[in-house]
Amino acid sequence: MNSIYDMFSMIILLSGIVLIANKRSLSYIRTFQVQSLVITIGALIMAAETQHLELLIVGCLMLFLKVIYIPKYLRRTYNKVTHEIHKDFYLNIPILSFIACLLVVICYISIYQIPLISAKGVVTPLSCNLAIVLIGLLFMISRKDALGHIIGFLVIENGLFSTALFTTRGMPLIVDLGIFIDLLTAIIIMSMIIFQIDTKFQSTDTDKLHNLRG
Amino acid sequence: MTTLITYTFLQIIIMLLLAPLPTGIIRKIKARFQKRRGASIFQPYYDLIKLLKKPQVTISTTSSKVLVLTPYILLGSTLLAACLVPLSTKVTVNLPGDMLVLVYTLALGGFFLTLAALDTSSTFGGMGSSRENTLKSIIEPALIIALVTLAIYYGSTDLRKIMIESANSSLSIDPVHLLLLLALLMVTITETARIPIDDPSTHLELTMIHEAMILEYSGRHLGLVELAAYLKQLIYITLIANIFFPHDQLISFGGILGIVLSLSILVLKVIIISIILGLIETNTVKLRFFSIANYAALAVILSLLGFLCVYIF
Amino acid sequence: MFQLLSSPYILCASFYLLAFLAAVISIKWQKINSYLVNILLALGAFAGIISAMYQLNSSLEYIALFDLPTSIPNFTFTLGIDYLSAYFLLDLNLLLLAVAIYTPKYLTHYQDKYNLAVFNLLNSAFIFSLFVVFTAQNLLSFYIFWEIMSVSSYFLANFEHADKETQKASTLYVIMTHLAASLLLIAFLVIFTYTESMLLPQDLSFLSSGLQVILAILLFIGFGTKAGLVPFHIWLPMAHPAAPSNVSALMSGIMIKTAVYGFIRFIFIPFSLPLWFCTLVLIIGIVSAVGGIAYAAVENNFKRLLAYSSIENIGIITTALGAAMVADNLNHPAIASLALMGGLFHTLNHTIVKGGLFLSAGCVQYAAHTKEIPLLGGLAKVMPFTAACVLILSLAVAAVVPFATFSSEWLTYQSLIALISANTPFMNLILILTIALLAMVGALAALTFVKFFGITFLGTPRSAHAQKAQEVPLSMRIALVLPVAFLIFNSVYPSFAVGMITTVVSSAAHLPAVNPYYIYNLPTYDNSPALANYDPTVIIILLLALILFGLIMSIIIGGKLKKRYYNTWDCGFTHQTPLMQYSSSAYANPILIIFRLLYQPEFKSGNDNYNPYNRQKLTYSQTIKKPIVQYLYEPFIHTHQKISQFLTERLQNGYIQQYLLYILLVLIVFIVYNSVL
Repeated sequence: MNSIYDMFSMIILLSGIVLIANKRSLSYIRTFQVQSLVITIGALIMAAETQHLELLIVGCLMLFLKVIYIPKYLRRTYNKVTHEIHKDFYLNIPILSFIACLLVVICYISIYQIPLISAKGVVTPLSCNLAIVLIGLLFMISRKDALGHIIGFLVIENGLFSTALFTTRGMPLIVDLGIFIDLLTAIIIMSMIIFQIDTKFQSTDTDKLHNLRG
Repeated sequence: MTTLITYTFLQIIIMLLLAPLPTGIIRKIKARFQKRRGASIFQPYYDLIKLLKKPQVTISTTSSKVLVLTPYILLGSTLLAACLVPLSTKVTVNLPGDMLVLVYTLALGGFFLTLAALDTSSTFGGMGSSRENTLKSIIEPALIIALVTLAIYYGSTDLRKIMIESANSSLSIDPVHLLLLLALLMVTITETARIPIDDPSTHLELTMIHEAMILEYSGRHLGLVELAAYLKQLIYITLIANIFFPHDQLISFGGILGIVLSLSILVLKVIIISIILGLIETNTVKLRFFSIANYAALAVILSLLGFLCVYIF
Repeated sequence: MFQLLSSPYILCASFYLLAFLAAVISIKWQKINSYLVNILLALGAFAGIISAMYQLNSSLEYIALFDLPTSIPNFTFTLGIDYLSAYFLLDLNLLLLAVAIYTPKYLTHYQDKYNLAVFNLLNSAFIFSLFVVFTAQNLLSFYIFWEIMSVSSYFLANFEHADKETQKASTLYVIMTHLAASLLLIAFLVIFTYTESMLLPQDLSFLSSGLQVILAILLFIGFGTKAGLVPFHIWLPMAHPAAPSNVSALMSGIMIKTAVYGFIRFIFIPFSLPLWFCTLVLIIGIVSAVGGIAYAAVENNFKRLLAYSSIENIGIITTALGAAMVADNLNHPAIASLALMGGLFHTLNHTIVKGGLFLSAGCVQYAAHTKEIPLLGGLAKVMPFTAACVLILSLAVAAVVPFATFSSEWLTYQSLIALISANTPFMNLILILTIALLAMVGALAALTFVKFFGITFLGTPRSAHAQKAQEVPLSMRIALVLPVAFLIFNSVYPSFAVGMITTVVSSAAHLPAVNPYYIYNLPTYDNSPALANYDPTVIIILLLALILFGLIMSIIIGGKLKKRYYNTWDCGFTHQTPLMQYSSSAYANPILIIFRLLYQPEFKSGNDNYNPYNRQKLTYSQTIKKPIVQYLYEPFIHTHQKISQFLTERLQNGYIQQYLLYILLVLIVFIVYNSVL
């Protein structure tokens, strides 16, 4: 059974790298949706295996929120703002994907040194999913568009959730519920701010926020 | 010695007979997705025979002997590569050549093809030649890392040994195979000039790479060059089919019955992979040429992660 | 003491000396001088080939050739040949045979402008100094003849001294090679202080680790500059195009291999170095390979393209040597032996191939009087024989399957793959990246040489230079056939050369003998470190059989071929000019754009003389910066200039009073120092 979870962690890592290689805003949303779907399926399979009700609830919540509702909401946001076609990222794609690969290697090498973790045999899921957190942060750093920042934040959340899921079979239900409510509120607030940015600058390019400097 | 010669001959005949089939299947799938009936899946066979039967060849006045020699050298080197691919454990052709020899034999064919394209002194030829060589240089690291990782995982760089080891080891779904399979699939699409990289059914200079190089060939030369392209596609498909999904451990007969059964299952696997390639072809769009660098970087990262999975994870 | 005629090497050396004397004697009669000297050199080369092959296939481990003690202590002119020297002498003489046959007719090109007799004098001095460099057994005589080799090659490179570019190039060359040689001298002197003898060092592992590393770094920089490793390579792409083609062939073919000899003799054999140094050698090797071929791909001057390709191949040889050092350090002697064999075999193959390519570049220059690829084209129709030879040599340089260069690269790949075992993860990462970059280098080399051969020889002539080209004289063509013949022999039957290399590796480097090639009947690769078999003979026979099969099949299905000749399809546009073909900068343009981080190209376009009533003129230029020159050397040169300026203006400004003041100050310092003590 463990090897299936290793596979899932690897597929999630792959979706993270594909996310870094994406160039258009709608593809970000789609890739995030696929990643959340994979995590949900992993959570549901784990719920079936361990017979925990909490995992089932959390899995269904994740399905509704991150796979169906939040991407729909983000797409609506995207359609309402003006978008211009421009190069949305700082360095070029091959270098960014190599940096992502480097992050994975760094995660692995630092986690491998800890003897207690390698004794339990959870090195692969832990390092892959931790790398997703870092890749989400890399994604936020490298994108200029505000939508990219939101997706990066969501991917960090995904990474934390899947780390807990595949390493220790989930966090306590209260913690998970708290995280989801936080997430929802944060997304709604961020979308409202995007509308404001768009009204002020006629674009959501965060480079333009630079002009607000005194 | 005689078994070697018979098996080599058998392998050449099988690869030649099977070569146009994947193209036919892919074209049929494309046609169906476009709501057309499409030509029969054996149409490439009929086209090839028609081309090979033509007695006349039109050769450009500006070309030297290189243009006339290339189809034969290209077909010869691709057939040599086809001999080095493992078909089945029942029909092992123990030629002294491993995966590196395979890759560089295909490079020999590619060298002559791209050279002859410059021979015709037309702009299309130069363009196709330049683009093809550029793509080869950025996709080759991914191919070599994937093959070397397989070599280290299974303990030998000889492809036939890898197939035997893979058949003997129990089927386990692990990240290494997934990553290497994806990387090799991306490399296959590039090397066989399929849709995200190059459109094989168009003749516009914006969209052609392989077609631009073979624009000046006609008659039997065109037939031979197309046959070599089909063979190259079959080589990559067979490689993926036999290394990642080995079937010989399911066959416990020996002798002629075993060989026939093994080869039929191989044909089935080739058909399935061609269907998958056809589905990829209909559902993606062709990339802008300089975006192919991003695609190649992704392929390298996938195979590098596959290697890291073996030796670090 | 003299040892009379104890070996045919004496014959070889004496022919070289006779050539030198002949050059001196007939310095007034240029034409006879050319023929006489070169015939003597060719005879010497032939004697050298026979003697080297005889020694390498026999069990004569060391032939003491010459021992002349002088009155200077520790300096004896001792020449002796062991297996390693014999191998490199074989290398030298194979190339020299072709170059000696090539030179007389080629030099008629320069007849009116420069003195041919001086050229032949310098050439024979160069060859003799190369002979001594490979066979010297005394550190000082090695160093002296190393300097003679550098100086004579400087004068040879500067042969067309009226040209400003040539002067700049050869000045840069002589400065860099001299600085490198000074580092070598420092290393030799330090070795002398510790070993008390001037013989070639056999085992220096008793020195402290830090000292070994410092000596190894000095020797590495010294030999690396001569080899043309990045970042010390900047002289190579300037000096090789500036020199006449036969000199470039010798320089690129054998002179940069003296550095490989130096690496093995002075760094690999004596020292036992820490792992980080061996990995550094590996990394510098692969970086040179990538840098070399990257710049070769976008180059428009065909001799500079060949020079960059030499840098690439030296990078591959150094990668093999680095792999051997790493394997030796990690206690895998069989893998070290395999890697060293790959490096040495590649040395031999590269000498033959690159020498042949430079000779053919000379043929093209002789016929078309230009060195720029974009001005050529269609030469295959005019020079079919040369074109056929160049095609085979270009295929070999791109390391495609049946050729010997692929066999040596296969050995290097196998040693790198075999090293990836249960090592530290960091080392495995470096090794897999090296393998990936080697693959990319191979594909880029194919691009470069398709461009080189395709645009120069195929298509239609792009300028008047190419239209007026004619086939070169017979002796030059014969000289071109020799490298091709040696290459084909090495490709079809590499066991001969590899057998000799096995002897070299096992005796000189004290590594176990490994024979990676097995005849087909014995497919046992259990006692070989390589992970598979590869037998080029079988593969070549099969390839030829399959090509024949294709021919027979098409004749059976289609009948006899009828050819019809017609114009190239021009899309309905009837005024096709030769300039509409792809040019060499266009061919490499995608590579330039994809790897723009490496080249940092600047594209400038502008309209000059824009006049709405006349046709406007558009200019488009594309410059490639050389990052290593810009970021590594320019700051050094800048600081150096600033310091010299300061010194000239302030400290040495010509006032006598200031100099007298210096004397007074020094006197006061000494008085105070003495009184304080």
